This record gives sequence, structure tokens and C-alpha cells, in this order.
Amino acid sequence: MYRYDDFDAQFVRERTDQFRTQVERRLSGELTEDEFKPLRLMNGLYLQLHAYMLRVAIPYGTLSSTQMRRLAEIADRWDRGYGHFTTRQNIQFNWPKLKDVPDILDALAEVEMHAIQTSGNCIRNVTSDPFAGVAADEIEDPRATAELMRQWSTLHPEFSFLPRKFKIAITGSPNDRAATKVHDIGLRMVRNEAGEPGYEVAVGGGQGRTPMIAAVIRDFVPKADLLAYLEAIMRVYNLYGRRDNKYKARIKILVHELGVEAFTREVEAEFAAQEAPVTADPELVTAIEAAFAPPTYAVLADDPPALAQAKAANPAFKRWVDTNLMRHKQPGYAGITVSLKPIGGIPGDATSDQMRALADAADWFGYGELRVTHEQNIVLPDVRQDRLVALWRHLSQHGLDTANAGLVTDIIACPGLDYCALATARSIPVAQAISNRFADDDRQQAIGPLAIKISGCINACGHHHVGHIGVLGLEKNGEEYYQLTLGGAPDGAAAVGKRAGPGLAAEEVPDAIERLVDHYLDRREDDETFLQTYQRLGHDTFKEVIYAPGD
Amino acid sequence: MSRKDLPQVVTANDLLSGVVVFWTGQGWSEALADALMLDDPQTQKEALAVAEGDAGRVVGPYLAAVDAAGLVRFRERIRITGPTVDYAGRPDEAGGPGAAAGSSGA
Repeated sequence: MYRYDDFDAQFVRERTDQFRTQVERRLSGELTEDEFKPLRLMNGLYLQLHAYMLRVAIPYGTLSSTQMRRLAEIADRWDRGYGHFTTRQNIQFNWPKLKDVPDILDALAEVEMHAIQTSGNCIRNVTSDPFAGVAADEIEDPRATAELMRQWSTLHPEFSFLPRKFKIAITGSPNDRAATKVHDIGLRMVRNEAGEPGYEVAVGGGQGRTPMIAAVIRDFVPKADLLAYLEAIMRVYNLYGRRDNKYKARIKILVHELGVEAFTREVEAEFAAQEAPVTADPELVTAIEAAFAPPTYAVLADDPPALAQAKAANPAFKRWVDTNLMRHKQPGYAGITVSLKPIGGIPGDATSDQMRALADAADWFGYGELRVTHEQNIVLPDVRQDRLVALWRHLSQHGLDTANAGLVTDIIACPGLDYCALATARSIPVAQAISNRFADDDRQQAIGPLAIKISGCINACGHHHVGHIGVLGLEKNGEEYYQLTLGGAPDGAAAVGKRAGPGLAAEEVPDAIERLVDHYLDRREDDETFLQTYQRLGHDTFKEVIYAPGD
Repeated sequence: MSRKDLPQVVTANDLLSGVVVFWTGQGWSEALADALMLDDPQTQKEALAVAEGDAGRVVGPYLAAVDAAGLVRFRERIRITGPTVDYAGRPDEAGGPGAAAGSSGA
């Protein structure tokens, strides 16, 4: 993986020193809160309901075992022994004290991490496919491009005060595991007619109060032109994006109001007019690409006899392998999703002990690398298939062996009103109730792929708009209630879910979801998934069962 | 009776720790029981102005309604009790105030 060069290390150190001074000035009274707030936000420090919250960037979701151990150390030393992995592939600490944050940032800087640009109206952490570099269906590892974009967008003076925050996602696979179509810019690697890799560029996706699917404005941008093309998009947005109304300031509104064709014309004109288009130094590009070169794999075959024997001998292991394994591009290896969704647990939370166990797993069973997924799980990207049973035993000692990747209990949930100052309702208890309701392993397997996503407010950090079943928590007259949406999808033919009637009380949500699931199981044909059955039968038939107890 | 017609307290977050605090009339306390109850708009306005002047101690003071049962808004109750869920690092294991907030929710 990429390691900081001298420039990276120096600017992070300078920013950390700068923030230490800013905290001192705030505590001495030299800075008012109004002056200090934008400074702390630029360093990822929010104030939530009960405490400060520090959001640490994990570039494109990739981190080393050393970095994971440091996160565990931070959790123990300056927080309450746990962290929360987010849908932005970042980690949040929920209880840091302001006076400790400079020390935390120093500790992060020592392992080449920071919290810069995890807030504010700038280009945020670039997100990517958690299986980048190892997925069998991939054209190329997109992380070299993601790293280039990180370097380009970090402290970019022209794009540090955009109309609103800006999120870019990138995938190297035709199968989108990075939800690229619900980002401000979604990049999907494709090949042109000559077979050269480049990027399809989609713009104007997003969730929040106005969910939209991104529109493709260019079928192919050569890799060498990508930064220049991105700059053209950013300039059009910076110039025309609305600054008078924060609810209309995202680029999706600009694309919608101008129209895709007119927006595209503006971008193409800006791209063509660049006198000195930004290009990356070829030596730098080569160095970054080298940093993402695959490890030296052993020459192995898929499906070793030892794996088959272990599966035959142990049904729980078989279930875990069948559910949480991703096909690897290298024969004899596997990508493994380590679920952070134990039955009845808090989606995305990991204790410091679990973080250390994950770091150990990365060292003992891989090449010291981990990924954070936007589904709030962890991926071990390079596990030998003949060592899967040993890995599973290790994970099971730490409560990390839940076999539910992609299933009904693999629920995305934002922190909601249990932590978040913006939330209107709680998310976590609803996720826990649904998880407990569908705890039975055989039943989960019978239901198959089903994505439930829960947000505690209209800002949609829990991605409810793209849940096969989405749950949005709202508040009216002091009471929490929950609005269901159906038919959303973050991948492939990405779609925004459709609202399904009046809201429900929290305790009604598991029953309603159970009726939806039973309706699907009763009517599915062959191997149809929930989403396929929903699409075949239509919205209304599913909507009706939500409000038909005993049907 | 709307919330604004109810007695109010001034609440904020402690600058150093971020914890929720209440204006007592002389300073800040983490206990709602210590909070100065403000019955009329004029005293509420004055107390808020004093609290806002204490920016070296707290962040973002504002008025929150109370009735006989305590803080009125569910959000405010969660603020003082902490998350309603049994998270890994919870200092008050075995129920605690979080469970109370959970049971009084919607």
C-alpha cells in the first residue's frame, strides 16, 4: 500500500502542530468558538450530543495492520475502548476530549493518518471498492488513481471552499461495490476500443434530502487526462453551484437544474479551454502504482482439499465461507468480509480488542493490509484458502465470525440520535431489533441477499435511499417514527428507493420488515433475490403488506 | 402548552470534555438537578446571555424546556443520559441511565 513521502509527512505534521496551537488559543480565550469551529471541523473534530467526535480519514478504505493497532491504542488511551466504522470507510471516535485531540492527531501522524478534510465544504476522503486490487472481476486496481486524487485534492486551494461538501467514489470493476452512482462524482474503470483502461465519469449522484443517481457525462476519459477532467468539473461546480441555499448547494442540484447536456457542455468547454491542464508527474504515477503492486503470492490452486474437508466437517465454518468469501483474482486465495454486524450488535462498532485481533489477522493470514467497507465491515483482502479455517477460529475468539455478509442482518445504520447532533431519531436500536428478529442462520440463508439500510435523519448517512429496504427515522411532536422505502440499490442499475406509505413506530418496524420478507419468500420464483421479486411484482404489492398485519 | 411556555434551563457542552452541562446561576454542573430553573422569558434571556459570555468554559449554550418529569425533548433526555444502547465502552454497565432513556422513548 501507499506510504507517505516526505511531503505528505511534513504537511500532516505541520497541520497537527498548527491545530495544537489553535486548541491552545481557544482554551486561552484568544479564539472565540465562532473562530475555532471551522478550524476544528477542518481537522475532523465535531461536537455531537454528548461529546466531541473525531472522524479519522482512511483513504479509499485501505489501512495497514500497524494503523489498525494505532486506532485501537487511541480508542483505549483517549476514548472508551471502541470505534465506529462508517459508510464513508472512515472511523469515528465518539468520546475524545478537546485537550487530547492534538495528541491523538500526533499519534495518527506517526502512522501516516490524519483527520483532514473529513468535514467541511471540500473534497472528502475518496472511497473505493473494498476488494480493489484483489477482485476477480476487476480491470485494474483503482487505488493508484484514488491515491493520486487524494494528493491532488488535499489542501487544494481552489477547491477548499466549495459550495458544499464533495464526495468522489471510484471502482475498477464493472460490478460496482463502491456505490459510485450516489456520489458527487462516480468513476468506473472501463476500456476503450483500443483496450486501454480509463474512466467512465458520472456526476451528480447523492443521497440526503434530494436523492439522485449520477448521470454519465463522459463514457471514457483516459487515465492521463483524469485530473484535468476532474478539475473541469470542479471549476464548473465552483462557479455555478449555489451558495445561497445549503440545501441546493450540492452538485447534483446544479446538474439537475442545468440539465445533464448543458452541464456536460460546460465541463467539456472548460476541459478544452485549459491552457495548462493539470497532469501528474509520470515518476510520481509510477511510484504510486508500484505501491499498489500485488504481493508475491504463492502458486496455489483454488478449492484446496483441506478447505473442502474443513467445510464438510464443520457446518458453521461452511456457512461462514459460503457467505463471507469473495472470489480472488489469484488462485488459491480469497477476500474475506469480517462482519461488524453481530446479531443484536451496533453496526460498524469494533472494540479495541477486536481492532487488534483484526490487525493480527491481517499479519498472520494476509500481507498486513485491511479494508473498511462502506457497508461498515472489514475486509481481509489476501487470505490463503487453505488457511481459512485457522482464520475463522481466530476471528471466532473475538466475536468476529458472524456469517452474514450481504444478508438481512448485515444492516447499515448511522449513529442516529444516540450520538449525532443532526439526527431526528435513533437508528441503532432499530437495527438491533431487526437483527434479533432475523437471527436464525438458516432463515437468513433462505432469504438470501437483502440490504437493509437505516438513517436517523434526512441526511441519509445510513444510505437508506439505496437499501433494498430503507428505513428513515424522523420525529414528529416529540415521537420518533420510521418511514420505509423499497427497491433502492447502490450497485449495478443503481436506484433510489420508493417511499412506502405512512411512517411506523419503532416497535412496528421489525414486524413490517418480516411481512415484506415473508411476502417475498411466498412469491419468489426460482433463485430470485428480494430485489428481483420486488421489481417483478412491483411496488404496490409490497407496500400493501407493510400495513396488513396477519396477511 | 408549547415547549417555549414551559420553564427552561440553559444547557451547553463543556469546552474541554464536551460533556453536557447546565447553568446553575453561578457556574456549570453536569447534573440537571443543579440547573437554575428559568420561568419567564426575561430571566431566560438574561441567563442565556450570561452563559454565552462564558465561552471559555462551554460551547453552544441554549435553552431547553423542562417539566415535572425533567427535560421535555427526547433529544435532550438522550443528551444527559448518553446513548440508549449498550455500547462497548459504556461506563455504566447493567442498565444505567441509557436504559431509562430508552424506555421513555417513542
